[in-house]
Amino acid sequence: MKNEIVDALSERFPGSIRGVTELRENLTLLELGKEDVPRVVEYALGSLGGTHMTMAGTDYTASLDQYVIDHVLGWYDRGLLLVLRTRVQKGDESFPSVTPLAPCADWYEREVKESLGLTPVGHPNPRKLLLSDDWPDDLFPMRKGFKNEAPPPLRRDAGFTFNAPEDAGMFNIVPYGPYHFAIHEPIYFRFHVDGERIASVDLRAGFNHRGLEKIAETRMTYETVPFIAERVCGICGSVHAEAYTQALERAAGFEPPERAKWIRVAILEMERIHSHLLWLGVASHMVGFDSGLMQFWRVRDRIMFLAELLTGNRKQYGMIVPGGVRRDIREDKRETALREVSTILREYEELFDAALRLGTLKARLEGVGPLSEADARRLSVTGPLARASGVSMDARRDYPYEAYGQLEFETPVRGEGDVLARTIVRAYDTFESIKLVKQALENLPGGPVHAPIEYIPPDVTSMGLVEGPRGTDVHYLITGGEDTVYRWRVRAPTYANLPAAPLMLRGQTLADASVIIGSIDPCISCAERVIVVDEASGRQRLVSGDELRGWRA
Amino acid sequence: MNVAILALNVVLAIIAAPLIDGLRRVITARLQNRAGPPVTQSWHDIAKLLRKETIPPEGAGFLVSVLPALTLTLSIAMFATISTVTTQSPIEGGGIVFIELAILSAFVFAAAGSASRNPYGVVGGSREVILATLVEPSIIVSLTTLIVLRGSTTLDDAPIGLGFGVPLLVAAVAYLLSVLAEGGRIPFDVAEAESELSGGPLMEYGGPPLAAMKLGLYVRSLALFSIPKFFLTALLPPGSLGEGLSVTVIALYLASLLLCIILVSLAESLSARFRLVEASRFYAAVLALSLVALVLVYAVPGAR
Amino acid sequence: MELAYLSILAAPALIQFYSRRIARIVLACVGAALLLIGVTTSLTLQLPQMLIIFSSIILLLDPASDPRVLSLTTLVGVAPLPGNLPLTALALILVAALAAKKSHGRAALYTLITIPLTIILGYLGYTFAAAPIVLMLVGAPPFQRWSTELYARYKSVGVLVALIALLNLNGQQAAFAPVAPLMTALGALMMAVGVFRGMKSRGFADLFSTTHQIAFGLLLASASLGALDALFLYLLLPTVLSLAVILRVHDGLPEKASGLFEFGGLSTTMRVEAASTLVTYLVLFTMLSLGAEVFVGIGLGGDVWFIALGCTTLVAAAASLAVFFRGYTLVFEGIPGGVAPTSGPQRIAVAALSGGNALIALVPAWSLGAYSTIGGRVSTVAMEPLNVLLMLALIAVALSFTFTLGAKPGKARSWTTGYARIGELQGSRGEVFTSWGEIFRPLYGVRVPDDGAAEALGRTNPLITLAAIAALVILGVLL
Repeated sequence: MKNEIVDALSERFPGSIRGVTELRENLTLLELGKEDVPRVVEYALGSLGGTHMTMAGTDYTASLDQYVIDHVLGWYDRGLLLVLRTRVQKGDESFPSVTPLAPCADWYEREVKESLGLTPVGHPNPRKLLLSDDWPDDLFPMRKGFKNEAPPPLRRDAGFTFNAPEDAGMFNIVPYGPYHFAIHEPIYFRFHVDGERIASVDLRAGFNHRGLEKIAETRMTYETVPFIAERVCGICGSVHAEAYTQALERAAGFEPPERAKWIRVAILEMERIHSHLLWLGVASHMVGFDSGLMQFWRVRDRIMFLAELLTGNRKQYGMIVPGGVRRDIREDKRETALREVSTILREYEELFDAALRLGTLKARLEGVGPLSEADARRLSVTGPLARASGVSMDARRDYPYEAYGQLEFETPVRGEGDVLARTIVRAYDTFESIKLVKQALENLPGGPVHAPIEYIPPDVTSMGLVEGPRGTDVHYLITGGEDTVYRWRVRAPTYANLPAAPLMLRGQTLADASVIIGSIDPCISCAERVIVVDEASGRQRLVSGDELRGWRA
Repeated sequence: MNVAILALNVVLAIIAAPLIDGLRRVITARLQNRAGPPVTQSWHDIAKLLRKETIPPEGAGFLVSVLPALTLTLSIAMFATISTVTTQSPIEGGGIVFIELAILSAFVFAAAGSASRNPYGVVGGSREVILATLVEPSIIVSLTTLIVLRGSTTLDDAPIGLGFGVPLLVAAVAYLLSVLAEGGRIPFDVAEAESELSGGPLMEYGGPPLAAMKLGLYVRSLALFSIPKFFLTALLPPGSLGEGLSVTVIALYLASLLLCIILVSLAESLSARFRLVEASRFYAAVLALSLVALVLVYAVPGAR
Repeated sequence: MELAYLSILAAPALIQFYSRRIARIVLACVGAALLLIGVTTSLTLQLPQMLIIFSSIILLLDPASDPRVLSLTTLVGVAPLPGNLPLTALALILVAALAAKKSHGRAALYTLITIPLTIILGYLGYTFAAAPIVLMLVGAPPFQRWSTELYARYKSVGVLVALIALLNLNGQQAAFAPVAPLMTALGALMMAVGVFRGMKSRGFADLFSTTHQIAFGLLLASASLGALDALFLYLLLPTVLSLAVILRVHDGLPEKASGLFEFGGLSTTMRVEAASTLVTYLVLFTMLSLGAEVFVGIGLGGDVWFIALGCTTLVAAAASLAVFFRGYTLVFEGIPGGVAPTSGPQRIAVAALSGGNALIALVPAWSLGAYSTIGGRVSTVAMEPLNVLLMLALIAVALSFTFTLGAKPGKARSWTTGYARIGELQGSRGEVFTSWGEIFRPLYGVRVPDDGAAEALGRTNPLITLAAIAALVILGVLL
């Protein structure tokens, strides 16, 4: 059964597949020539019903004189993962673009182009994605030769070309961001509006790009990466730490102790509850229902108290490390925690009933920002965004990890695809999470919470999949020698979800723009991950106001 | 024209308006399980704004300096046409002029948004214009009903011994609902929608111009909230109130103000923001109610 | 004044065959001369006649105005013709002018029906039979569709014609008494229609015609009732002056981007025109407000319809500000190129007119009572509307300047982050008021009666229509 997909592909594309390797149970690697990749990916995603998980480019020019590009595809209903590996020779740094056939590959290819210098031929939109406008075009940060020791010479003539509709003169341009009350992180949308209707959208991301992947490769060890992984996001940090740790432990063939697994589940679900309560408050605020904001956040404070009780931190817990968890949960704290969870459930239930019965609130959310199931599948969106459009995908259920295999929970799915559906999906997700936290804390097995990992073999490709509050977080890992990672690629769920924003915004009113963008629950920091730091001198360079103005170019 | 009462009204407008807004903030906060700011917070806000620098947006003309002040002075002028704490009003026949000033100040606010050359200001300004045009009819009709009930266009507190009946009640309710819509708070703050438009017309203003505009908006709300008192004083028997300052009038004034503020806070806490189309349906319903009130005043004998 | 003297007005019409420019100058001189003679010598001009001649001089400000038609219209307006002859003559002139430009068979159709009917019924003693012609000339519903097209083409003549029609209506109040309530109601409807059309107007020609509708709607509402005489007389001059100024200014806005507010802030190159337009629309607002005050004042005496009229007028006042706002803070797509930008002397004239207009409109209240005794008529109802607007406006302006002078603005800063330049934003600007259309879609979908009637008439053979009219006339004579 596992090779069904591989068999189907071999049948359809005889001769294209140059090699098949079983990396692990349910993780298969296929070698392809770079010309064959677009059609294979299109067939796999379209006819075979797969989901595009991530794509990573790695620089192997030092050892093999080539770059390696991996597309990772997943089948949630079968619990399968497929890595399509292709090689780009040094000297011929281009490859045929997948985007015209499979639009979900859009952002990945742009990122590979700007960070590794490999040109996707035929890409309809090869603009910069994450690097800033004044980053020099010939400098590629993810190449092994680039040492991030000093800021590069920046271009003086930087600018960004925005796409505009043909009859652009008919519309007003309304800039949305990078500073806007409604979005909590910097991102720039450019709306072309006709009165109140949005005719066309373009976006510029990259304001939060910090270079964490490069830092992990050059300056971190296996043990310290989880902590920087946690800093990818302010509110879903444990998800990233867990995904990385999962990838690493699988690469090493290591099973963490039982108690550690259950504690990890408790932490991840706590984070999910926290994130959803925050989102419910923010969504209420965006449609003008300030009481909702205040009340949901009042309950959220209880979750943060619970987190502090169990982990010592209200938000970024710092608990998940390779080998297990850092701290144990004492018996008396467990009892207090269980009581606290009951209170949270009770208050949340009251609030949920009251809020969703409010006519004006429903009217603002219903029918707004629709995303059809076909579009959701085509763009390979994930998480509540996909589940609200009828696509049932949940990494906890389909790719079971930690203790989820032994826990009871449901995954709500709705079909309408509008903001109200996403709200309800998240609201019910929260109920399920509370149930899970309770189960995890009640049935905590005994034993140690940490065991050392003896040996991590180098050059192993591994994947970590975790269902975060916003969707499936996919970490792609190639282990290196000397206790460091060779390549670590973080694909946060928002990275897959944000490209759906222009589609959802078209035809909607300006009044609803905030809530539509918010309904993706964008964690922009998750989506952008690179910075440059002056490491040699160790000091941070303060940029003066004049320079900032000059950089605006 | 009574200059003393005029001066009193002007001073009262400037001093009392932020206090009323502060009271509204406190009540809203309590409804949301919060502690809320002190009642004098709005005074502090305006004082702080007055200490800041004025930075005009690039390329905007002199209108940007004039319009905020104009918003304020027009709103204060609204107080010149009605009686607030005294029995007489400073000016004869100011009822219709009150409405005209209400209309004008709404449009000046919208123009201020457009003048700032910021697309959010323009969108906010245009929303404000549409909103004002939609909500004015109900205010016009309900205020005219009040004028007909009182039998003169002078909005003063001379008691006329009107009998309490359905026409008076319906007219009062219609007016309260229209004023709720005019107030510019959730669910009707379409023009200023903070999370959608980052403040709309107010976006580009800071420092003293913003203080002037905010104070202008507070004073306008206070002026509109001062009208329900006339429905109450009309009920008193003729000659029961003397000239000049009157304790009864002040008491009725405070009571009606409190009622208005509580209504606004309740609406603010219990509902999401209306979109323009939904808001217009509400306004249409309120207009229908005001028309019913006007018809009742004529249809029911002895109502005038 | 004797017809002999007044017939000098025919001169410019003849001179136009040689030179249009000279014809304009001649018309201006002739008009001034007549006014001078009429005021100083024993050959006195009646107030309506003075007003008509004065208006025709002012309307010469519009370079697109046709001196020939203007002078002929003035002649017909001031000539002491009996009964409904002036109105029917006006209608004929207008039809001839339109036919000369080969347009608007619809207008010809209407006149085809109404002119003979009017003459015959007038002969039979029903002078108010001219009511349809009055409505047609003024542009009241259901004829506003036709009048839009007319006023887009013959703006200044349209104003003069409407003025003459209303003066006639006001002069023959006794004869029009049976239809007076209808005229008032149609005046109110005209204001409402004007406002709705203004919110959907797509160009400055549209905007002008809606302003015309709003102003003349108010005049029509106050023309036929004796109680409103003083108001009517008071409103005449501001209407003409306002429309003349707007006419001139609209025609002089040549390009798409140089709107009045130019995306905020009065445009630097058009200060006089901008200020004049602002003043004019404020005067319009004042007129509507004063009208509303008068209506409500009369209505408090017990008549609910006057209260309704007052409310409608106030709503129109509010909406007229919205129309102005929309017209001048947006960019209409493809504004047709104007005739010419205003020259220096024209700018002075526009400024002078606006200033005079403002003075007249803001004149203190009690003069409205004085208006009622001008022209030898005494108003039947004493009116004391309060122009508190003036006092308060003065206070507001004075205080605003104090604030402006007192506050010290800092250095201007740009609000853009560099991704959206002001130039780029200005270059692409479109409709902002689409919500209005969405909210009122059912209302805008209502088909105007004259659309349907015109279609039906257009399909029938004109001869059949004539035969039907003849039959009606014969019936009328027999009964």
